[in-house]
Amino acid sequence: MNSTTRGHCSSDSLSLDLKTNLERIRSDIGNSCDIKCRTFHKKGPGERDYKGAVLHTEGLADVRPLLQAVMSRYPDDYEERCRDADSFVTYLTDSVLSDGCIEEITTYDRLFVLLLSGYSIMLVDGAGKGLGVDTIRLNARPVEEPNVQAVVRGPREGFTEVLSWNTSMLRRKIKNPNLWIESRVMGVQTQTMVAIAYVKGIVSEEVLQEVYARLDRVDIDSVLESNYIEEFIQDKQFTAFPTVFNTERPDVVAAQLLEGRVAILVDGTPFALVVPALFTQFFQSSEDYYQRFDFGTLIRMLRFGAFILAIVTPSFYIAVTTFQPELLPTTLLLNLASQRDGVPFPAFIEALVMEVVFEILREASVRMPKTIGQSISIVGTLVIGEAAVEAGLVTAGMVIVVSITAISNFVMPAFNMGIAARIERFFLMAMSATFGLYGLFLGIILLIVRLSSLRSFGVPYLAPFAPLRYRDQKDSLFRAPFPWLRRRPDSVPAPHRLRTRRVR
Amino acid sequence: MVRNGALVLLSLLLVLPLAGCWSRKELNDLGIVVGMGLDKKGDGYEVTVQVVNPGQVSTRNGISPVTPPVSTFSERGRTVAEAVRRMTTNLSKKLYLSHLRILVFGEQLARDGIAKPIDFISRDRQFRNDFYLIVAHGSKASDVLKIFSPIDPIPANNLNNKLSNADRLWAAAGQITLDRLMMDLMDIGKSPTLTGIRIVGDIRDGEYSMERIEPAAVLEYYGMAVFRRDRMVGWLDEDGTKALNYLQDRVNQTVATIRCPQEGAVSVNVTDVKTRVRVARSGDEPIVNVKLHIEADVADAECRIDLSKVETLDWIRRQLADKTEDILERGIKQAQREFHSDIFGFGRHVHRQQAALWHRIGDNWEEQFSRLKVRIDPVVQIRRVGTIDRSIEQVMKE
Repeated sequence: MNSTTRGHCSSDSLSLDLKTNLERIRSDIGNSCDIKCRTFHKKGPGERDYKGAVLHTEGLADVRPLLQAVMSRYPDDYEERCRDADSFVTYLTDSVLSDGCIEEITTYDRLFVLLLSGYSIMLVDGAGKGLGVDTIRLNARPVEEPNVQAVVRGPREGFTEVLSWNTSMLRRKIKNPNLWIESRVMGVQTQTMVAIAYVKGIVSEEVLQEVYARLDRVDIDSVLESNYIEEFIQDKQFTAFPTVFNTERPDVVAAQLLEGRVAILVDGTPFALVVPALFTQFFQSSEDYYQRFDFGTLIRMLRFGAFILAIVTPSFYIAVTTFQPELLPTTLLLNLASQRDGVPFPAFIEALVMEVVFEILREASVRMPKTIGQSISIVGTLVIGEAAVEAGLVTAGMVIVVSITAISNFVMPAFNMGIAARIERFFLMAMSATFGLYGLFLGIILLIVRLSSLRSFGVPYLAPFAPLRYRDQKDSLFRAPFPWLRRRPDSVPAPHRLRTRRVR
Repeated sequence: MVRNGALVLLSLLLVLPLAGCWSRKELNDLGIVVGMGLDKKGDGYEVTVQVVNPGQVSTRNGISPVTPPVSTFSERGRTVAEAVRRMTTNLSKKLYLSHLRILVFGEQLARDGIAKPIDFISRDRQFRNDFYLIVAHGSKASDVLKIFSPIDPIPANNLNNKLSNADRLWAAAGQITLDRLMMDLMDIGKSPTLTGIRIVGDIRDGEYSMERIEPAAVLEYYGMAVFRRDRMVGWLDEDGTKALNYLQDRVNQTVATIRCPQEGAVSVNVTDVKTRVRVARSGDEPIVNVKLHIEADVADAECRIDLSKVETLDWIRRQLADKTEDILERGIKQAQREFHSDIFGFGRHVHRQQAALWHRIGDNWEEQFSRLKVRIDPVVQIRRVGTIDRSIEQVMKE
């Protein structure tokens, strides 16, 4: 395990003297009140007296079984085997302690890492090493149904904030020794555990090396959420389109791993990163695979349609009404013209105001306390819907445009792709407000150029559309029945294509 | 790198305001012209436009119209373009011509020639190709645009729909759009025709009134104006118009009535017509053979006949064929003797099918047309007789 230190922890070795050790620990951790220390005496053979101490962090560890074991009567071979403090420690490890995982500690560094992750530290006077005993008892949120990426049919469990639970969920899905999970510690200050999971034999070595190379470049003080890492390892900073996929669903991660992708799980967040990420991936929900293929296909197409609506509707409306009204059917033109009668702002300003108001409303509904949520949403819908139209400030058509846009945005199963749609929408609105339909199409071309220039960990972002890969069309815009999906997608590099073939 | 990129981006951004938004037009700044009328006025033209009053058209509930849904404005000018621009002096909005539904020529203007005013219409980029051109029968175009239409709040829209319905279901009107008119004007082998419209009732009384259910004045399509080159030379009546549509293979549906042997009549719905024009030649004379395939249903039988008998249907077929032939022949005669104008486009067929001959005779086609031999050969098929076989009258008799 990587234990580079740059903070207050020193890499000194433990002292032989218990008192020195305890003082040192106390001073290093600033007498923090949640570090509890329990000292004990144990009569040894002859007149020897073993003095010891058990330290733990309150709330992270359950120290009682450990103490019970230490204080209990020891087996008969106790006296002959314990010659000195060191052998006492060995004896405790071998015969007394019933807790699962025990680690010998020789440095303060390691001691603090273990202590602060819920281990109990046992120090014995005169022994050159301490023991770290796994007594972790987390008070964490239990496994719950994911509330961002919900499904109608499919597994109901989602990742939690505890890394070990998350990896266990992956293990439960893929019972295969080829599922390798490596860990790293990231964040100089936070010392956060980060796990890198992949299926050996399916994952492409180049992608894996690239992932490691990029993780090596992460130089950060704290990792509080997976986005801290995402922004270090993503391919391009200045694009609204996400090149790293994230999910809170273990089933999604498992499926991605089996297609040759690499998952990065971060302790403390239920959102796992998956790379390489393709554009189409953000339009696929795990439910596409849990419902029959015909439904999955139709829904996928609907999502692409909704994405286009979410990006283009307001700008198209602006372009057509202010630059090319000759494109409208006459009745529709008259209808829109009558609505615009007496509306004081140009269509672009109108659209901009409405979109911004809607963004405010959305942001408020995410942030506000749940108890007042309802009143805000009523005010919001009434104000930007009915009242604004009644007052003649905006046209009813614009309200419809904004609502279609907003609702289409929520169809996106990946929230961050929805964010991309929200940002690019404003860009396109500005384009069509200056150049009309010509500007709108110019903007769309720019977007597509930008999208095709993107790569995610060496994989073309728009694959399998650009470059066109015929075989992958079965599982991008469409979702073919499972018997047809015998091969892994070509778009994600993987050494073996046939899904059913045993690797290694 | 980043510096250069930022510089390029900045200069691109600065280009945006340079272009500005000069073709930007908000919907509420537009005076949407749905109808336009052209009349002769002294040396120049009088242009009348029918502009929509959007607020009065929409179906927003709770607001009942207080002003008419459309307003008309007239302005004189030496040319059409001048008159349209001068219109800005009495209209607060910019005239927007793309959604024109109907263009009316006054009869006087049509008789003087439409080539000059039509230049502006086809040159200006705002005009689309999908509006209909019509000629006011015996009145000024401006009068036509001043008549209220019942049912549809926008008179020009009403005229537009009425024309396409009449053409589709009755075949006694023609949907002539700008591109068709232009094609006909340029072609020696085909003279243009435009549907006529006449005002039935008193123009003065044609006001919108809440107290009256029956409108005092209505606009009615009647016949077609026949042009020689760009000048109007006369009117085709209803049968003439039907003949014109039959011969141009433009009949969609129509109804024909046949006189019964004793008294009463049978009507048939003509549901499908295919017209094929073949041009043969004898020496330097083209001979036109028109083959018509007519499919029809019996719509009603108001006399004592038994439609369950094959002979009856045969009789109807013969009668319908004769009647159609008669209408077509009279229409052709009228065009040859009265108008000297090839409104049927036979010249075009000669040009296509006998190109060598056309090069010799095409130059004086108008004269040639007047003595053109046309043979009509209608084939009628009765497809359906409806849900009852014998006529009600027949059944009652028994």
